[in-house]
Amino acid sequence: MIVSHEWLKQFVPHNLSPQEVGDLISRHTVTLDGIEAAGADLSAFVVGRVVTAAKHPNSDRLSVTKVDDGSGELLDVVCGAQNIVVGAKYPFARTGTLMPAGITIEKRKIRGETSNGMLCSARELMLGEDHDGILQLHTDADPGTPLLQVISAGDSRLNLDVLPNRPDLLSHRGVARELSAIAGLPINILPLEGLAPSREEQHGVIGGMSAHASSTGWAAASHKGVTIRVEDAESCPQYLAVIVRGVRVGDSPAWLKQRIESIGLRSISNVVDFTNYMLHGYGQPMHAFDLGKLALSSIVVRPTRAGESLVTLDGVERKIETGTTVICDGERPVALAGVMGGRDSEVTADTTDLLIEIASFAPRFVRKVRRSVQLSTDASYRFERGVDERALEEVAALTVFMLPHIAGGSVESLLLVGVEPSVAKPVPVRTARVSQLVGVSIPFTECVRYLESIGCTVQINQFAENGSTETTGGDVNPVLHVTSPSWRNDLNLEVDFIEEIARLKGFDTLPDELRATRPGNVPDHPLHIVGRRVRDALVSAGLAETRPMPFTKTGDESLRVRNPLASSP
Amino acid sequence: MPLSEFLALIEQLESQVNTMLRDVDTSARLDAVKGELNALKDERLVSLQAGIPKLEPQDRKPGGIRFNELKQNIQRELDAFIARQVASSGAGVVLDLTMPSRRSWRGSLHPVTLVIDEISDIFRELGFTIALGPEAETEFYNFGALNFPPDHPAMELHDTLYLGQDTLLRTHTSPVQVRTLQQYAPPVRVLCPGQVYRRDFFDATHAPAFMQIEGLAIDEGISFVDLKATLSEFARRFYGSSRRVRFGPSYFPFVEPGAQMDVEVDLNDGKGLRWVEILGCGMVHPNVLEAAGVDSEKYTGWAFGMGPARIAMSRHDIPDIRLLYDSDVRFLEQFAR
Repeated sequence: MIVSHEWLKQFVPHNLSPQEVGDLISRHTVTLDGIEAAGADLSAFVVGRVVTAAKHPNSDRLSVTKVDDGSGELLDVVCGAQNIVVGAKYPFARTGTLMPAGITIEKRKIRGETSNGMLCSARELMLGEDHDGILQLHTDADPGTPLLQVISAGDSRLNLDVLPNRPDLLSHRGVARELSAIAGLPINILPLEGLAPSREEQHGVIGGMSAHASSTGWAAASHKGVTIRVEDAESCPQYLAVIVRGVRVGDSPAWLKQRIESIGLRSISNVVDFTNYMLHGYGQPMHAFDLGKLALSSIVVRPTRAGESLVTLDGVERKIETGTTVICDGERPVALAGVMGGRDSEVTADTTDLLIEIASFAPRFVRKVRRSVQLSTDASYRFERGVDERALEEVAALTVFMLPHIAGGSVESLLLVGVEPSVAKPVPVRTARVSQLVGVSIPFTECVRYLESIGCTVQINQFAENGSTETTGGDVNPVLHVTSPSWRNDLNLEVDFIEEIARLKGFDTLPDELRATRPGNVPDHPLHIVGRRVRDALVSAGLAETRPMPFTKTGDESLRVRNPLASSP
Repeated sequence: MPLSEFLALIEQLESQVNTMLRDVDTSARLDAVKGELNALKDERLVSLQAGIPKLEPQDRKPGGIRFNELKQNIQRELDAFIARQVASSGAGVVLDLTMPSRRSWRGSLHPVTLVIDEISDIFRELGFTIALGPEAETEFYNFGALNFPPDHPAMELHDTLYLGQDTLLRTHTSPVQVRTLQQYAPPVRVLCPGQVYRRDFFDATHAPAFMQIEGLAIDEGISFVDLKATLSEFARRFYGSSRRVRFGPSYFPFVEPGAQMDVEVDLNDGKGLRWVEILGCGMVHPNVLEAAGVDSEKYTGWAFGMGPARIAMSRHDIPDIRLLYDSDVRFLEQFAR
């Protein structure tokens, strides 16, 4: 999982450095594989001070300046900006500097005047869209100081090794929840990226959408000629569709482009970028169909039939195996459920009406589809591990609010098909067992604090009749009845919660203390004893031990591997 | 130099050598004789040979032929002397103490074996014995009994080679833990070294078969503190007592809490000390204990697993894992002790 430090800050405002965040996460949550700079490399740029500025003799728009770059020598620099202030400091690219756009600054003559470098605008440094003039630095730093010491420019990417037990960490919000718990910082669960909702929109976002759905149903819903039908509820427990009409497909706004590029993706269009933003921001895979290209303006989720195929977004025609699930319009397949959409219903520059799919697909069905077409995507990766079903409506509400701001148009309706997701049941957690397994006494209040920090609700059953309260050595060890949050599908057993308590407390805080143990009941395996004697005898006789690869060509005597990666005759 | 003078010099050297070898007593030490002979050769033979190109062109051939005869004669006289010596000694055998000895082969253990032995020795001091099990396993022992949820992405961390519908090449040595718990009642403290298999390409960093070593400790009242203290003690004995050790969360279906141990080591790459993951570990999952027939309320325990090949590679700066499988004696004999 690639996490943008700046994006994370939208959810959890903080002053920690990327390294500090990474250290906290690797101590309490998952392994940090590395941190790298995202975006432009600005390490070569320095602070430059404009000492004099005069009009270029051969141009009305250009100026000839003398710039102090800290080298002790004033450099002649030609500049086209209109906002040069003598005495002010600006980002300066010396000759030889590689600009983020890929051009190297060289000493050259501009209309007859020599220029030894460049004073830079924010856009030239990819720090923003501002190209009205060069970027004035309000700093006391001396000329020649590296630019990165003066401005907090550039984002960082944290690469987290998220293992299959924590699908909730496959989004920025998920990582933010975790950071909030381990750093004790407040979380803003729905950051709006500077978009200001109207009062009406605010109601929609905060109040949840189910009340506002245009049409809902167990198996089908329809509104103004658009129909959603789910014939295979086992593989698709919920299907939400947001209908937006009158959008203008085009470039993304700067903030959205920045988010998409900050995690190493390519900005494609405002609509596609938005669906990717929701996937990486909230962990909910979404797909945008061009509503105008869906036959009968409908979506049908049904089991596959023999002989069906689909050309996916990547232009590959894929045969669809029976026994899996497919998304169709009124006539034919239009998407591989939970894996990838089809090319024929793709959003293009001419698209005006959208059907945004926000669905939950059962992990094992998505795995089946993914295996049968041998295509793993960001969407299938998340569905296979489990997507928070309870977040669907929230994500739909955000879509209803944000998408018109990003791509124009207006939301016509929200269709909702499926069943309410089940609610987690409380699990009894004996605090005495927590201390026993971890090896140190952890007061129940501390246990409660850790569990609540990750979104669990805890009911303390201190005086239950069945004797669930234990007292040892004066400590009160009640049984906690813990309900996990909807995004933690991995918390089901008492020991799952004990693990949460132990890791949030921190393995490093536990004592490094060898305690008395009983010797084991198991004698050395006889083959080990014999093997070691034979080996030592042979080595004493001068032989070298080898450990050859046990695989060979197929022979009559050999045991055959049924699924070799490669085979030789 | 005229040819006649060159031939005279040869004549002179030849008679001198012949006199020396014929007159010497058979009781003389062969090495002394050889020494004298070598001194003569160094002084005279070399300068004679250098004289050949300086002869007139038409004289070089006869001069060269005569020179070769001289060399052969010297060897013949030496052989004759040795033969006389053999004949005169009663046993008919003479010891040539100057002969280079036959090359002695020092046996060597494989570098991965050395690491396994070292790990085993430390854990033996901490009360562990060695348990072994089959490399061909059933799905139950390799996955089911180890709390792998059926049809779950966790299975994909273990790309498996199958031998039959239900039989496979074990992907880890953890099945040995289950088999041991089925056979012996706690307390159990065992170490399980063995070969494991993954459906992986054979390249510089991957191998489809490699060694693994796991450990298991089960008894009443065993806690995460026991895990942490025992494995930290192991790390200090293995890497040196000044090494820093840390534990962070990780995930393996068969343990919970799951963890990994990192040790601050110097990989000799000029970058100094750095945290390196050495092993995965955790408290044995209650489902694993129950599957092996152990009462998970009464007994708890911990387990760990590590790859000795990786340790051997970083210890000896071995750049390519395939070297470990090559059976190249020039590589293997470097590990002789």
